[in-house]
Amino acid sequence: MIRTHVLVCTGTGCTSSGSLATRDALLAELKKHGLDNEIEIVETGCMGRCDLGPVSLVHPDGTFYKNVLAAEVPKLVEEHFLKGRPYKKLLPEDPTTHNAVLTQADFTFFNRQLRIVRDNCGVIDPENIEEYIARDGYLALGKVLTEMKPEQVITEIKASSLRGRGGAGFPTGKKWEIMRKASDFPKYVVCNADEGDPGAFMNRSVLEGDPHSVIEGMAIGAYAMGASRGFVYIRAEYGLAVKRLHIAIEQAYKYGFLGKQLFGTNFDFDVEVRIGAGAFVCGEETALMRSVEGRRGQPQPRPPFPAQRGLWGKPTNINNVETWATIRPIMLKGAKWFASIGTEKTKGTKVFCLAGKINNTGVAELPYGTTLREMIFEVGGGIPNGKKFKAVQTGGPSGGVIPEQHIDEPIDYESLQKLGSIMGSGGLVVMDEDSCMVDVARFFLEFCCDESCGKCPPCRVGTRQMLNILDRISKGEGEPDDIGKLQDLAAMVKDTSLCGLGQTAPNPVLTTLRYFRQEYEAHIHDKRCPAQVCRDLLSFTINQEKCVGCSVCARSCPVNTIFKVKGQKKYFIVEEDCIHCGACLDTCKFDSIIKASEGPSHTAPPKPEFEPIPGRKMAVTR
Amino acid sequence: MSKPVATSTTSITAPPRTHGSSESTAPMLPHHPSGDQRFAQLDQTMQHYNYEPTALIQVLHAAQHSFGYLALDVLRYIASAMKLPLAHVYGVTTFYNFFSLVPRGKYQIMVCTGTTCHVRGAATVVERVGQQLGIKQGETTKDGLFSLQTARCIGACALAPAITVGDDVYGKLSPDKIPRFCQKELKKYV
Amino acid sequence: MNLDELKKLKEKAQRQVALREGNKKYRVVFSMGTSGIAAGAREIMTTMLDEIDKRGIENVEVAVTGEIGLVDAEPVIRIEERSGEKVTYAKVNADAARKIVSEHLQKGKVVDGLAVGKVKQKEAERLK
Repeated sequence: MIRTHVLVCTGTGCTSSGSLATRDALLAELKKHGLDNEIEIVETGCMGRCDLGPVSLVHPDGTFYKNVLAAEVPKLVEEHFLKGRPYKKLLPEDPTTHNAVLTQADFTFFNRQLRIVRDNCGVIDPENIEEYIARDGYLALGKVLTEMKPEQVITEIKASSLRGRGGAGFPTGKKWEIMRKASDFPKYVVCNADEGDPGAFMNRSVLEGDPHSVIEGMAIGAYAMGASRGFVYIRAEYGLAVKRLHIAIEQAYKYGFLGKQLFGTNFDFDVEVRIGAGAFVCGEETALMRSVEGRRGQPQPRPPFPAQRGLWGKPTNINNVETWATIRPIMLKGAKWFASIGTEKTKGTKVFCLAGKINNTGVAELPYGTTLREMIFEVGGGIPNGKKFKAVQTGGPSGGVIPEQHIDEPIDYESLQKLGSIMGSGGLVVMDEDSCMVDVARFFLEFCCDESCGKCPPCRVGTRQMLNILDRISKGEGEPDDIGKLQDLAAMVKDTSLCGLGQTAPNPVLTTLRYFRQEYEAHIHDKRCPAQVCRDLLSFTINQEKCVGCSVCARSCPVNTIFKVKGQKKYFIVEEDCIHCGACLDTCKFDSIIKASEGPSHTAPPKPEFEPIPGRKMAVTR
Repeated sequence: MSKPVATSTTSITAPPRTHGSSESTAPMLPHHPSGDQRFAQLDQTMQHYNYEPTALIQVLHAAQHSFGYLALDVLRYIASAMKLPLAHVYGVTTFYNFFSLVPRGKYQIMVCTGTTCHVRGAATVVERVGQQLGIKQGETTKDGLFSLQTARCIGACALAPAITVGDDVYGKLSPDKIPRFCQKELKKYV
Repeated sequence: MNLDELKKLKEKAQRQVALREGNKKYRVVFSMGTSGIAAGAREIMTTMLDEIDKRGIENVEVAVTGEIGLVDAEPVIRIEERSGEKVTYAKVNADAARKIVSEHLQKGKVVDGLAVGKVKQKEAERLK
């Protein structure tokens, strides 16, 4: 009899921390102790705490271990599996309570969550369809096909008030109804797994951890809308998710959940995977469809909407991974149950990705209406290293930053929009006092500018012009009327771009201007970067009192601009040649490098006389 | 779709046929004159997709996987086999970031520059990896082993800053850890 | 595949993952300290696991713990019921282990001759 299951996360995050080596070490160690007949190792999808990886969960005790590196395995097996006591060294600490955590239930990060979409993630082996079946897998599809009419399915989805999880929040039931009424055939359903927003990886974690839930949702949707063919459009960057999706589809065919005459009815459904090739704009539905058709992913004007003319000119429904994965629980537990969760306008839960300057990074699923403060300071465990919270960025490059005075707002589509940001895919990137808002705005604009498909001039040219201005500002060459110019350009790009990419591209600039205007002004007028990020506005000097003359900084300097002061055991940075890379700051063990951004009023210390360092070429001073 | 991108006798807008059937309607093509086995592999892939124009991106993926990059010769071969105008194939290839027309190193070093990695210092990471390898972004080392690129977001935000080398993901590589990373971890690939 | 077949398959598959749901009726805890192992607790555990498997008993999870506190009476096992009732068996040999499985875990009857301590539900609540 198997008495214990050891769940080892083999999602992308934990794999990169070495969870496959951990799995092998566990197998070997258990065999060595003759425990391999009583203890089984199960590879699961993402448990949501990639930063603690490799993570592992031991059942039936429910003990949650972090950093289970292969080297720790012998001790872990001895403590937990032989002696039956938790291996304390690998128990995580809850940054909110500062207690060692034994099970997931003791961990604020986990116990605040309500898991509907990610219910199976990190619990089942995603490559084993039977484990999915054990958790009511394909039961919803079976019931829908044998007991419900397509119209009833749509009524149920409408009653649940489910809104699309891809970002815009369009009511899913309504979308399905429009598609159902389209009279052209064949119809197609598409799963948008082109999760391009930087800072968002919830779709990846669902596809890696529970691919069948997406397939089942698509099959239910296809039945309700009268489609018989589906495509999953997934990014090429998500290698493991692609692999697991392929395995899941293959197994679903084998078990008769895909293919012809499902559950003895006349409903046929086929699913195919289409892999993207690295174009952010393909997350936009009209561009996505063109990419599925094997063409350049350039968007098209709407209307006609995909439900009228989509793939190959036929009615097409496109939903996001999370939306598809939410269909199954709604059909199993009922619309009423689902509608009881969340806020008045937005029902259910959302999977958020917490990242950036935050203690608990990872994937967390919470009901809509949770406030940003709860997300960041309770679930997220606050800001590390005692730094001060500055802003949270939501919605990726299309979203905006939200400052501290607004973090008591509940997270839903309407309130985020009111603040100038958007819900987007649910990525939350937390920034502390060390993040420069001009730099952040520049970063996102550069992203959109690069990813603009080039079809419409407002997006292609407008974002470039805005980027040029921001580049200037961050180099300390900003002009007084730059803020006004940015605002004008932003309004133009927003109003006249063809697709969502251009229409939302100015959001990061507009929100940073709205909440952090004084930072722009410091860059423009004082030529100073208050957060000390914009390189051209920095200065590096060596504190002559602290310098012990160890020469580490001089040797690490890529442009050879740190010299030994003649006759003294001290070093000095020649500012003219310094590229402000910060290599000296990172290598100095005596805390003697001073990084500052003081603007032009700052006068450089007088240059001492230097002596050459043996074996090092002197930099040519301009 | 109102208008096909390319003017061709083949309809790009036709819906796909169900692929994977052994009875292909397309004629068997003669192998590439060079006799390079990789072209035979490419033939198989195209046959799997029934030479469907809609599978072009998937075919390009397969081609890049076996050739390392997409030389004009390869694009020409694909275009003629799939009965697509070369301009269309070229247009698709150059639209997507994933495809490269020039040879790249044996291993791609991709430094993630997503938001989270950015706020944790990805720009400096790119610079320092470049310094360590003696190349700039977009270049390949002299021994042809590594090329340095940046990625939009690899979805490993919890491990920021992250780098991928080939298929391996490395996380929590803050700028100060880069020299050590290049000297130790990258040696494994040599 | 039809709905009935799926339901059957589900029942079968549930056994594979039931361990992770954590709502079994019985929890058998083995005292696996030094003295327990010396007295043969490991072998008893293997015997018991085999027996549970053979009889196809589903409602049991098995765990190990450190010394329970009856060093001179090892091997010691404790059976905890979800309701709170706890029974401790001491000096368990292979035959006794099988009997505990067939009587206690399968039929719900405490094996009187072997049980040394029994904490009833009410008492358990009081102790809490």
